[in-house]
Amino acid sequence: MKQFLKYHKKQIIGGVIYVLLFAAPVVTLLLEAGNPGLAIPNSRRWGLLRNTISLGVLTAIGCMLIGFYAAVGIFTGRLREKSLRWWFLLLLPVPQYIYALSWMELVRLLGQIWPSLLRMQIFGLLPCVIVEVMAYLPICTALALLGLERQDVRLAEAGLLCRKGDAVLYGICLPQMLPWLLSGAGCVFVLSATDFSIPSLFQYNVYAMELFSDFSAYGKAVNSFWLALPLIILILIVVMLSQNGLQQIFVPVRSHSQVRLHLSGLTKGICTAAIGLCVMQILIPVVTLTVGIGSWEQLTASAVLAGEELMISCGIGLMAALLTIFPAFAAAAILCSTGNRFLRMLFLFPLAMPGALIGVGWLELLNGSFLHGITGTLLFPALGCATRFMPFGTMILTGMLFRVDKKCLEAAEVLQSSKRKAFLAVKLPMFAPGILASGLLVFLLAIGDVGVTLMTAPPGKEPFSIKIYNYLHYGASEMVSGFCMVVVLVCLTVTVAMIGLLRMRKHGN
Amino acid sequence: MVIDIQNVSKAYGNVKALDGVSLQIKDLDRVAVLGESGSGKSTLLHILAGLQTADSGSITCDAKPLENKPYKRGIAMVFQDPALWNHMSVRANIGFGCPVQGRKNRQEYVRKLAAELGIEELLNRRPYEISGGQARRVAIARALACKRPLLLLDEAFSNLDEATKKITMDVVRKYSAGTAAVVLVTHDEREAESFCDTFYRMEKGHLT
Repeated sequence: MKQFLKYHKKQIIGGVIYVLLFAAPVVTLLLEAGNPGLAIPNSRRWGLLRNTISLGVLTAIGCMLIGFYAAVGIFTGRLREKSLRWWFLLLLPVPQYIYALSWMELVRLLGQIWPSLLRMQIFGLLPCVIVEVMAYLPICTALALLGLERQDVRLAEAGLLCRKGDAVLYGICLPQMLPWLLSGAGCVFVLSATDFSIPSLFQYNVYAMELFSDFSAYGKAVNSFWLALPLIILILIVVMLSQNGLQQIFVPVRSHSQVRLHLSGLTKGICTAAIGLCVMQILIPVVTLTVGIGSWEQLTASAVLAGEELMISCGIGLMAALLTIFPAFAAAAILCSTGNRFLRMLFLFPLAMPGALIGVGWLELLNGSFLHGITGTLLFPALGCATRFMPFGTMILTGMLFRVDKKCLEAAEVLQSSKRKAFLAVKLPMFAPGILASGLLVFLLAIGDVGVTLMTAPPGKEPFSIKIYNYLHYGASEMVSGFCMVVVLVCLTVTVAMIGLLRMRKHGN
Repeated sequence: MVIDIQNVSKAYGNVKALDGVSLQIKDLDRVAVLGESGSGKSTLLHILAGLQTADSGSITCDAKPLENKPYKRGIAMVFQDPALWNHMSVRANIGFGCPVQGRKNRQEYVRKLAAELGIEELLNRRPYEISGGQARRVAIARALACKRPLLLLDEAFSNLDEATKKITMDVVRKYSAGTAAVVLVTHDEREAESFCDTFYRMEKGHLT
């Protein structure tokens, strides 16, 4: 133990901060007298839970299937081994409700050609599934492609000596990719189950929405926790089941596949269709929003009108990213050195917490305490977003730490002339891509967040996401399209800037 | 300087990598540790370098316990993998731990060392732009440039053709002569005989 403390003192401090960040609001909620009976859903809530599961499962399956075929298409296409093969990630950072808006806008535009389309009532499960599949498709496609590229090439080659490409794809490649596909599906399920922004737009009642409405109606924070418990348990089960997949992602595989699969016409056709959906996933928001805005002046007017809210959102995102770096890095380092399943579950726990509940917990914790002043500042929503999105940063940093060449770090330990030089010249450049990527992800998620910020935004300081979300309920308009396009442009600018920064040291360890 | 390793043991789960190993390295010794793969040779070097801790036993330097921090032990090491830092040039890799004062002097020292190892023209390249054999020589130059009193070589001459191996050994001999003791871990007996004066054999964690 003494040895452990000596070598991992900073990690332990960071890990404790990590756990405190999500445990403190939960414990505060539990200390209040509430009604634990709410944890047992009544018939209406069973219905909501069923809706959540249906939406999550259908979205996850849709993303997994389309993502698999799209990845196979890209892997066997002309772009393999080129950086451009990741084109489908272009709009990944764009919040999902913007996809919802772009589909509404598409219906409106098509309605001008076929007026009968405008008379259709678009609500319920199906539109929710379509929009969520399109919004989360890049996650599953990326993981499927990584799974294909990191499989043991010798196994596929051995198969190709005796069977056709399709048989090798389904019999050898697919089982190897399965952990990646399942972890992608798990991620999509969790994101879908904790989000209420899209279901509320399509009037589809889900459990996450119930938590928000219950707190808004009765203001009893502890009851929100008991109410959320079935959802938390459901998500934890999904995280546990997909954990094996996550474990695979963390383990570095060095043999990059160069195998050529010659697929049948049918499989090629399905792959092309899947790639077509990935193209649509980018084109539909860009085209509909561009058409919806109408003119360049409208876009600039939207940017000017929402300038203050945009700055607030960027401030929240930046603070959230900075707040997560140390605890997420420490948690990743602990996961790398121990590989303990319980610790992995502990660090992934905030994934299971609906955003609204985290917001409510923080509100309850800080209200009435000597830190009450924080609730009036942007630090408050930033703290909530940091708590909610820390696991995503941790997952990226864990992957990065597993892939860093330990021998290079050991060489620096032995050969350094000073600790400062080893840190600045070797460790920092080696860790920088992971830290930047993790910070970028938290920043973008915080900018687009509705769940946490809805509960924690200080009075008079409305974040951009809330402004758009409020406008969205009045339907698609030029102004809303303009707002959404501004978000798309901000996300793209930050992502491109960060990629540029990373490419400057593209060939780093 | 006398490094005294007494009864050092190390196990990974149920597998004993080192079992009561004792060894003495005197000033300017050139010691070879021979053995098959998996016999515990590299573990011994990692423990000596301070990168791993022994389960039991002691390591002292002039009768005093060795420092815990690897960089305070006065040890340089060539790893089994070259472990070069890809984000730095070959020149920066070699000069990383070099104690020569003044940038110009240090660069000149690095250039001279690289020239003797036949890698001078690679100095401005990145490690991913050079071959495996060249990377190994860069790793050796990096360790020699540290000018530490104990040099640990973990299969340092493998992957080199005979002529290059001979030149590289001569350079290591020259730069360590009168300044450093050397411990060479290898499975190649000829290599050990041509480079070292004292020989040990490692078998299943035991040193004979």
